Amino acid sequence: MLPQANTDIREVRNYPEQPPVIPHSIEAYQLDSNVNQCLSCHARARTGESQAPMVSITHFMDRDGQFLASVSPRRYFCVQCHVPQSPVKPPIANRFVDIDALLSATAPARK
Amino acid sequence: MSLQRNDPTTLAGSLQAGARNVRGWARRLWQRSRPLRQRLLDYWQILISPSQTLSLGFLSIGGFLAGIAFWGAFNTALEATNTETFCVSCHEMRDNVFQELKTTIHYSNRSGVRATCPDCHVPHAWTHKIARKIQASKEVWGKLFGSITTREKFLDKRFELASHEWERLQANDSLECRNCHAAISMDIARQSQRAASAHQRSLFTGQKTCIDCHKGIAHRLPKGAYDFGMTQETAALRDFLQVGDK
Repeated sequence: MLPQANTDIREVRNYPEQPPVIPHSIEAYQLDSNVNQCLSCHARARTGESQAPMVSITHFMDRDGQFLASVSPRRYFCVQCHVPQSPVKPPIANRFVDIDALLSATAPARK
Repeated sequence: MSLQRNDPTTLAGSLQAGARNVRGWARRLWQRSRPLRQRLLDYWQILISPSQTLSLGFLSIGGFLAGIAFWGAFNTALEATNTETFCVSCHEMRDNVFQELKTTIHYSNRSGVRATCPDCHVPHAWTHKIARKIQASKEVWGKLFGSITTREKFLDKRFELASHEWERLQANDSLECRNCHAAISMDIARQSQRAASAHQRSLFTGQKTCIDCHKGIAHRLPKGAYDFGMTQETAALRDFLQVGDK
């Protein structure tokens, strides 16, 4: 398995809805129905001690729009959306451009 | 000096009706225990009398050699039960916790240095080791009466078992961790930013001990180890599906 990036520096999101990527290694973290080790730092009550960002409040909402006391079961498995990174060189370049680059490329030239 | 076994005269002394009239339970007890005291005194006389048949040389040299043999055997047995081979000779350990250890960094890593069961679960200093061994005799009881004969029984007991270890390590300031991991030898410049700041903030100041943050470092965490952040709904769903802990 490739080593995971462990910089602890937040990565810029490519689009506003992008789930932020995990800027640290999560190797051997336990994430199952018994234990969510991510929450040992990112749970609301734990952020004081860990200084980690809190799980977003949007994750407390169930499918009926009701806010729960903590992470909703449907948002429980973090790595469904949030993933660690590995420093690799992609064999095929990504042509994605973000909205800012797109807007400035298509904006009419000012005189 | 002859033994006065079953001497009716001393026995009778305690059974005298007069003893009952003596005031105070302590005094009564003292009088009633007279035959026992007398017998102990007789044995003491034998102990402090010189030997009549065995030579002084036999007793001193023989006693010395017997002492070496006893102590050697005791320590050999102690060390034999203090190995991983011994631990995993029982299926309770081999099929459950040992399988989990195998996937962790304390068993498999780049340098090939590894921890065995007793490295983390038995104190290294002699006095504490003996104390832990006496405690562990309860595990023999568990083995004899089959408290963890199946995977399900293990899972049901797992939180309690893990809690004992967490409490033990919290009480001794993670002594077994520190047998290898010394705070003074930690080069925090070589740690990730996150680890470095956490160690500076909590470990070096003595506010926390290793096990506070590193539970589950060598085995899977049981249900209930970190319930914060898990909603009642999630817990209910988990119990409904009866999943997990594979």
